[in-house]
Amino acid sequence: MIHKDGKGFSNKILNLDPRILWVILIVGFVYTLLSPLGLPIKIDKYTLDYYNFIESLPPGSIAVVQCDIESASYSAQLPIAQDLFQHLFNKKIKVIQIALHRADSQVNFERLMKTIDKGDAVYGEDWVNIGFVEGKETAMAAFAADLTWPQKDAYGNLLENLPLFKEAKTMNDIDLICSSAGDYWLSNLRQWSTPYGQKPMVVNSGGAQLPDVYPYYPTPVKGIMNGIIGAAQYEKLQQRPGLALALQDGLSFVGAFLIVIIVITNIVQISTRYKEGKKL
Amino acid sequence: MSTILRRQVPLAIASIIILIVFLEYYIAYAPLKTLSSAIQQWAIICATLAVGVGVINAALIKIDKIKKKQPYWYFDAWMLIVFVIFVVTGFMGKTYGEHPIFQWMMQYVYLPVDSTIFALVAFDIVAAFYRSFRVRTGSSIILLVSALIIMLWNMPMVGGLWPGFMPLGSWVLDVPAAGVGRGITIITAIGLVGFSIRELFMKERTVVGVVD
Repeated sequence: MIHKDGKGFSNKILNLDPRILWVILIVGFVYTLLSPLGLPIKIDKYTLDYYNFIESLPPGSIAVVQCDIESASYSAQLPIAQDLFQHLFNKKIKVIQIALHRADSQVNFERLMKTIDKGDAVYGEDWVNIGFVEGKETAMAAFAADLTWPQKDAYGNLLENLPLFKEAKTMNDIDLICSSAGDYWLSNLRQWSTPYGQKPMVVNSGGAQLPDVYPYYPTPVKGIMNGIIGAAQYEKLQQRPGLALALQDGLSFVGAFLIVIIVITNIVQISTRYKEGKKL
Repeated sequence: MSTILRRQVPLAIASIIILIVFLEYYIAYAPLKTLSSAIQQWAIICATLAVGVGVINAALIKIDKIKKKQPYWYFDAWMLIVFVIFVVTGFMGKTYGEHPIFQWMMQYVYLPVDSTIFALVAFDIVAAFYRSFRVRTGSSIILLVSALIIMLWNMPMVGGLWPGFMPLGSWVLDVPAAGVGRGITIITAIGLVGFSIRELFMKERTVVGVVD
């Protein structure tokens, strides 16, 4: 029953102090982190296609990776980037890494690489870190036309002196484009994939960007890693349990919590309107 | 400055650049490619210089606020101090950002602060979900149901406990979402082509600040 003084059950539900929700959210999330239930997860087709495409590449193939790891979302992006790089190194795929979005990504990339087992990969021959290059999409286009265009890598070495660039001169010589740079995947598509015969791409995306990526799947986007959820699925595929898998119960709790809030408030809202004689 | 200098000359430059870059995409002619590459280099140099200009501009604004002792001027002073520390330590060492002091500040100051601010967004999202995700019209039920389907699809445990639900979420993404997304992409591309043609023929005067 609704009271005009606002003390009725419906009014309480519809006018809850958000701080109550925040407390429930924190307590629930921390609890599921400390006491994981180990709920099963299913691997979706986008993650599976991502994994299978990299698996299908022969050793010695060359991948260009735009990996821009923001400091703000470092914790969220770390498992995603780890999965990608670890898979590339495990498969002995040669890697050219470049950052074009965030200047701080160079520092974060160095931290990421400390967590990657590179096996017997040799710097300069099997992988190169160009570092951060200013110029956004124009720089992307110039880089695609001549991969040595940035001239030096992140450590001051001349790119033209590195053995990897003897076999990879333009984007035509690249077998895979990996986009791990938030919104910039679309620029990768425009400047790296489409002009060079729709080079295959895999995209690390998540949340709000996902609906923008789906129209380009399965060509040229061969697979999509859907944020931390996709990363957990990838860890399962690689049989390498890590941070993303550990977070899944917490994410399930947050999702379930939000759905319960939405359903309850809407049931109360609709029933209140009907009781007041208003229709939708 | 005359109208020709302020409007027609920038429009003409833009038009010529569009033409060169456009033709280079379709015609394999070495001099055209060289010219197009040079134009792209200039664009990158301009963008890089713009960053420097932005930094100088921000610093001048802050210095002015400090001089005038405007409200919260001490925050501006602190920003300038931190800015100088990061720039100086960043340039110490062989390559930018390799110095241990810079690395330490990035790891133990910048990263935790930036992550904390970003993490606070989660609380706003929950509050926004609670306050605004309510059915007010009949048609908004469609939006609500679609959102619930995608949220369920995105919950890790749903795929494991209720695999039969996953095709429904995939269908929403593959059919309606992808269809609408492709439509928007095509419309945007057509709009961009129209805009470029107008710029090519110097008709798009909004770029030089003229609104008809």
